[in-house]
Amino acid sequence: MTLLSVQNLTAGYGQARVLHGVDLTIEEGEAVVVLGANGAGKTTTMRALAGLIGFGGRVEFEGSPLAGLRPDAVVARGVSLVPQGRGTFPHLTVLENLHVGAALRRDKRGIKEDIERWCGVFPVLAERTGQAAGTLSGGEQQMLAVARALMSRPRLLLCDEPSLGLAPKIVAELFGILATINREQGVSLLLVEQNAELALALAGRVYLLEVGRVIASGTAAEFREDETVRRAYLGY
Amino acid sequence: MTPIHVRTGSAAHRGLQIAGLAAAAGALLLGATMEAFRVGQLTNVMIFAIAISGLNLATGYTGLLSIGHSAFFGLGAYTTGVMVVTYGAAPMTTIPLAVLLCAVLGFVVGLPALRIRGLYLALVTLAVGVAFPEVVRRFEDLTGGAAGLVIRSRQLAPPEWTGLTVPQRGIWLYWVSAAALLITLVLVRNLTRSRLGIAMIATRDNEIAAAASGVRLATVKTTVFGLSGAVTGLAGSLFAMYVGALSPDGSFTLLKSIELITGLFLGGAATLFGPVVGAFAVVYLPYFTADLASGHVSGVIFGAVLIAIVFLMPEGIAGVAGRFLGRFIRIAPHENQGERP
Ligand SMILES: Nc1ncnc2c1ncn2[C@@H]1O[C@H](COP(=O)(O)OP(=O)(O)O)[C@@H](O)[C@H]1O
Ligand SMILES: [Mg+2]
Repeated sequence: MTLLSVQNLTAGYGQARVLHGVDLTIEEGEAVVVLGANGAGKTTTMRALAGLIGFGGRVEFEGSPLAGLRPDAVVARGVSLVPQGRGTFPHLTVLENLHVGAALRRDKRGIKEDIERWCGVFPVLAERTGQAAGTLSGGEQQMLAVARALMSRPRLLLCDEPSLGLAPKIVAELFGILATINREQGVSLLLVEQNAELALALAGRVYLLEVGRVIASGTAAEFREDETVRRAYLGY
Repeated sequence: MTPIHVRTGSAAHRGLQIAGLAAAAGALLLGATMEAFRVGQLTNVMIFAIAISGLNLATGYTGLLSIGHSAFFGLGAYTTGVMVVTYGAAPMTTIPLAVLLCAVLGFVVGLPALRIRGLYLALVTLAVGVAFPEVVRRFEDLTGGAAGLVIRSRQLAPPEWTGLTVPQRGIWLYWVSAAALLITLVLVRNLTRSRLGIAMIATRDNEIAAAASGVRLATVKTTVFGLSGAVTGLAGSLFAMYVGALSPDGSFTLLKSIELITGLFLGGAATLFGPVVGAFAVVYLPYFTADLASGHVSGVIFGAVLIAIVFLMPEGIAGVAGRFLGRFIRIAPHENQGERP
């Protein structure tokens, strides 16, 4: 079943149009990656899907449109975003960060269970629940940002360049966890990456974005075989 | 040396809290025995502390700079002034109305926050701050206009049940202000640990991530401005009782806003006790610098001291003191992780 269907998505900032008609779909349970150079419009796509900026075109999540919804309404529908860069609240504790992720929930018991669950998945967080997020390392903060986004119990997790600025070892660990969450917790994944190597290992399907348009799409296997993609994104 | 660790809710923590309260009560009792002039100064400090605590909610905890808090201070003061002078109300009974009107004004000022951000929002608050004295002048019939509004001392008599007489109104207001400050501090403390408080700090720290988490920025910002205005309005209401004479150019211009902002950052933004420390600083620092030199030189020294403090202690005096104390004693959250304290 199709979870997210995006047709002819247009968006921009003020007069400047950045997305000129993006099409993509995500099936239930899939992990999909969007590749593209700097400035291609990947972050803008994520912002539009999360309701942070207005957009044109048709976007349907579980069969009903997302257009015109405020960010909190999008979260309530089951879409959660890990924004590019720092996705945490540095002056709040790790625990409080997780509570912000549950801002729309009222089920105290369930929130508590989820905190325990994500602390189990991200052991670095379990050891630091009372610590201010700003005192965590970059990798720990990214883990926290992901855990925070999961606290709203999303059906679809949008991850905007989670590997940015992290050491390779941390990135590998993070991607391992994302894969587990996708496979075992049934959370579908839309991942934006510049690190194609890692992204292709995690995702089943790929979209290639260039100047606000999807210029190619296919399975991860097809992409790995593709000469131009290899040269442009994998460097061999 | 290794700090002593104290858990929130433990007996040791309770003991510390009680010791703190006892120390504060002792200081207040001591203050009450001083000469009338000193009692008045301390009353002024406590009123300032309440006003700055209000500003702290918007500017400190939520990161919404307001240059218009003089308007809340003024609206609170004029509500009490007009109710007492024109309608013969007992001063204390005017407090709820002053707080309510300021909450409404705060909410309205917060409305532009739905659409605009950062410096633009600060400009809206600036406009409100500039407009307030003008509005007071315009509605002369109600406010006394530029000539001012004078509350007679008879009208400021302490309530009968206290058994206090008119000349004792200073000490009465001292204790009223102390109670109001205590209530304010308890409310701010509880608020900043509530869901809304966490949403406020999240909004300040990372607006996009907060919105993407489902925090309703619009609701948070308008609510915070309403609460912030209400608290500063409470201070304004008490201030009317304290000075007894209100004029639009007296204490309700942008200079007052700047004093409040100065006090907030000196004392420590987004800390509970920062506003209290900041209030002491803005009331007493000018006296100290005036002792060192006279006239303009004193103003220059005052400015230099402010700049030095802000540069040397970006977290404010309370922030630095908190960290210093943290070396000796650490208060950690309760073991029970899923529950918020
Ligand atoms: N807040 C913004 N205001 C104006 N232009 C923006 C903003 N954010 C991004 N842009 C522009 O939009 C284009 C796409 O940016 P973005 O979506 O961030 O690309 P990517 O994430 O693929 O690197 C770039 O040309 C960028 O300069
Ligand atoms: Mg980007």
